[in-house]
Amino acid sequence: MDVDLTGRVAFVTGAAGGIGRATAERMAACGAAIVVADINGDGAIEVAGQLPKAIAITVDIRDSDAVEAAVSKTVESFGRLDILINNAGVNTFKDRVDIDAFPAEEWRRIVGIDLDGLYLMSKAAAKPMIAAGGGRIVNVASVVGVTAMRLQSAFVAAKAGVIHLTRSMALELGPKGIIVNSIAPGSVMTEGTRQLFYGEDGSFRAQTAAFMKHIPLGRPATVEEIAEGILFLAAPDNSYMTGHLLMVDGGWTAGYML
Amino acid sequence: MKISAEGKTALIVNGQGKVGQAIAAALTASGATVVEATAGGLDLSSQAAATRSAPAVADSPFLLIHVSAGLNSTDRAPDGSAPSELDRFAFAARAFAPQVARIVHVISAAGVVPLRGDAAFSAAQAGLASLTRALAMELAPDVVVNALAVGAVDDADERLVSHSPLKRAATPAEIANAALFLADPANTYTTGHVMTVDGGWSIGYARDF
Repeated sequence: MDVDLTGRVAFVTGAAGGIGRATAERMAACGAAIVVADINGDGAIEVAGQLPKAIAITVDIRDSDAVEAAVSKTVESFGRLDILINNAGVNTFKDRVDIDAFPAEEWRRIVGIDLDGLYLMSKAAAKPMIAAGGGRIVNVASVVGVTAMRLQSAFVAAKAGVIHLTRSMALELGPKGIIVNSIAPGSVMTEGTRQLFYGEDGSFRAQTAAFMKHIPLGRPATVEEIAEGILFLAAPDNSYMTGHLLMVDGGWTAGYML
Repeated sequence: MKISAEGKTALIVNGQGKVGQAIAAALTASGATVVEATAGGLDLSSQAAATRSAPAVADSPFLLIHVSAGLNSTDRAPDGSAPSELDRFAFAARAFAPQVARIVHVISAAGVVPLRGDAAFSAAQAGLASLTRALAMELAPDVVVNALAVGAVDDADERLVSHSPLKRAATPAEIANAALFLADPANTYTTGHVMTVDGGWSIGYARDF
């Protein structure tokens, strides 16, 4: 998809790797100046250093003062903020347990980043967008926000919250010219999930192979495929779709394959 | 907005309305040749007729766009003749599945949230949405099948603007941009999705109460 983002400024959270990095690279290739924001400052610097026009910002999105400062620095550096990509998010890998055993601190960590942090970022970034008369916000949700899964209740609840918060923000910010949408990646191949999906010989683990049978396209997405959806939602030409949840899930939620 | 469709052929069914024409214009601007399938000989009177007639319509099309006739007419009476529009959508999709890699069904947002006083139309559009999901599973992984659920366009139905946070109808070109995303050869992982382009009409209550 050919999108012109020349002269526009995009703030991408969690941009040091995975979907965030792919999105930052894709938008930079369309001409946007990028704010590479991540709690991993070294990673942010590395990504920003490879983009034609970018700055790196180290930020923990749970910290409202740090978030406000990051948005201020963006406007100081580039004079504007047109696009916010709320990509930063975490899930639990160590505590794969039912709700009756789910640790409170792990719940607070996940909801604190995935939902509270997204609220703080959106609140801060909306201000310069309102002042400028418009903007785009794209929230990275998940299929589990639509179709629940076991052993990750905090992530499931937080992502459902993101999807509905997106609609709430779209209703409030639409009259102010800001288009707000979310995207639901299904299974995505990242460095982190690669270890979950593959055995040492490079083949799918048995559980992964069974899981992929539920996905009509029969494979996980690449980060570039998710970034393409985010790019469309952030594009100036996407001017009438708001509050929508774009599924990029290989058909996972279309129905039951088995 | 453009996609990489240089030299490719796209088919459209019921493309004569303003939405269909805008989609065709956007595809043409992206370098595609757009062929109206029924004018090209597509027969949707039965699955057998569709399958028999499809190969001669165009040479190696990459895309089928099927616009619901309900979007082109204010006559929203349910289709009394056989086959129904639901059947015709399925006939066309299965007939062209061996040739195309992308199918986009252009339907009404009334298939997502029903319109008061238009029960049959709303239910029929919801049927097209469900058909889209079912065909996505049936035709995977060779063909990705999605729907575009359209809200108010131009001289809009007031019911489709009243709750919209954008407080206006879409231009046909805005609808076409969304169609381009689904038609794009770069869209390789969204399938079985109903993409609602309605200015936020279906997401909640934008009114003050």
